[in-house]
Amino acid sequence: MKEGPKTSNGTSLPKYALLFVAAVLLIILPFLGIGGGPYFIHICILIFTFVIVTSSLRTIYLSGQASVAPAAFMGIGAYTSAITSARLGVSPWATMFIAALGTMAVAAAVGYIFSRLRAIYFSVVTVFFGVGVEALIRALESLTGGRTALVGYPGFGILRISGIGVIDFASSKIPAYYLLLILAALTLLALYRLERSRTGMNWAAVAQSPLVASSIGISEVKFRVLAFSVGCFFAGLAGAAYGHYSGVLAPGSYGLMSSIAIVTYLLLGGQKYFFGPVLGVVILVAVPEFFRSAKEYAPYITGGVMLVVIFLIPEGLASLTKPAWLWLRRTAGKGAQ
Amino acid sequence: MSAILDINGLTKFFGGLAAVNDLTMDVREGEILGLMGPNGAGKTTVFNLITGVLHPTEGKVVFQGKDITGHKPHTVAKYGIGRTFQFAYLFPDFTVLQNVVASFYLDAKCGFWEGFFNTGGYRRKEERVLEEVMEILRMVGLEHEKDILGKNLPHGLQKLLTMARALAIRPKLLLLDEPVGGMHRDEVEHAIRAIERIRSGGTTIVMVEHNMRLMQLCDRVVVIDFGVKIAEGSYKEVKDHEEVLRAYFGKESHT
Repeated sequence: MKEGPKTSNGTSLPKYALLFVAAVLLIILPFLGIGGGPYFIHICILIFTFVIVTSSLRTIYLSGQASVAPAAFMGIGAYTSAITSARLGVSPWATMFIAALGTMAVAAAVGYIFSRLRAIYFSVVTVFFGVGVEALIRALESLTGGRTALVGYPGFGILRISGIGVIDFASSKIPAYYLLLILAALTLLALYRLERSRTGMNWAAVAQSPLVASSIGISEVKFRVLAFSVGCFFAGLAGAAYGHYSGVLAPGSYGLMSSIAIVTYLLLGGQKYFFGPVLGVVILVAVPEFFRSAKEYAPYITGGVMLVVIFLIPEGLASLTKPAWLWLRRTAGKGAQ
Repeated sequence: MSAILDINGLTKFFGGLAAVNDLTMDVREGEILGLMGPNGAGKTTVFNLITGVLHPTEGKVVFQGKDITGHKPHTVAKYGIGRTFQFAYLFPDFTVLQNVVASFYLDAKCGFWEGFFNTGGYRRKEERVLEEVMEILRMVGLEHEKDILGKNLPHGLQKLLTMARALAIRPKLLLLDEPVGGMHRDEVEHAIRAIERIRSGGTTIVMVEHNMRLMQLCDRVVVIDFGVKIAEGSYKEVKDHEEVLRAYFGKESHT
């Protein structure tokens, strides 16, 4: 129901064209032979994973809830899927979705309790929750491997599909590339649809004024818990899928610093814009990889970039796309004349 | 006329201070009831107690024979009690149109999945909603402002918008908190026409107001001071009531 950006100045067509070009590019990317093989593919998989998590975090923010625990929910999904597939012998293809639903159930319970709090108070309790999840992973040593990493649980293995052939996840990273690409695309589609439906409007209404929303029958608790659960479903799914791809889970990856990193992707990209998270993740995950020789300085670079963005572009990098496009059109128009 | 709303012994303490004290009154079906009183008399508190924003210390609120005391605000809205706020609370980042479309939440009954899949049924519902939204915007005279963001509307029009929003839930009972406060004369005329049209549509109205033009629309007036009812009757009857003059102008100067 929310109206999109104004299309009268002709920005609509290039947007779809751009989306199409990006899709084609992403599909043929593993075969272009750029960027140095498996490591490049790995970075792409990392980007897809965090696009899912950061976009789902944005959905939670739409309802006015600034959660600082996305990594914790990723971790719940990752550990649940790894442990159930290892202990019960269920295929990771099934446990991935079971874990996502489990993460959603936890989020619904936690979100309901936290829905009594608003704004910064809500953010603070999500920080505590995230820290608690990490501590719990470390404490439940017999289940999670404790402080050391959890390894030896099933991966996606070899998938035989009659008529198509054999897809081997074990000997190449390329199948996982497509799996995470598909999951990211489906997640973005689902989140986009929700945001544009009445559900998205109710989220925005609750975020703008819970008092006014309640006066027209929109329950603040219901729609906040809904946004939190939906967002965490996808965070859990991404965590689980990435876990079965990487084959190793370490508690530190799901702690407070990881959550803050994800929030940073969102703020840098621009939380008001649907593709803001994509922009933020691509830049903050990919760019430091180009400066690998100076890796110990990566946090300082990220921090510096963040400060510059907050001061100069408070609405995030995505807010620059429209002026950039208009500028491009203007200069292109001048060139043509 | 039978009572649509019964308020019985309603009391609200903030700490040791009684904002509303043993208030008993009823609202009859189809009437416009004026709720008067000097600043701080407890008028807005009464609205907040009816709609569940505040919980009464004591007393009962009965709407259409059903005890709704302490029910949650969004549930009270579902029963058919609409309201506006004294300060023009609205959705600042929604356009005028979106503000009212969002308010059709109860009426539209759009499910999570049908919205997600954007089904034909969902789109038809939303199209019908859009038609009714335009009808309401015309009723309050905001049809030309539909694409302006809520926060960019002048104050008077914001108040008209909050009335449009309250109407969108198809209320049986509408509570208007100072509907023309801060409006200039043209806007007041708009608001009066809108209120008359709402009443002729069969909606019962309770309004808090100081504007004399509006008080003359009221069938009955209840005057409260320090949370206590001090007078009740037609506007003509209460405006010269001794207690009322004392409440408004002080003990010495009732001339």
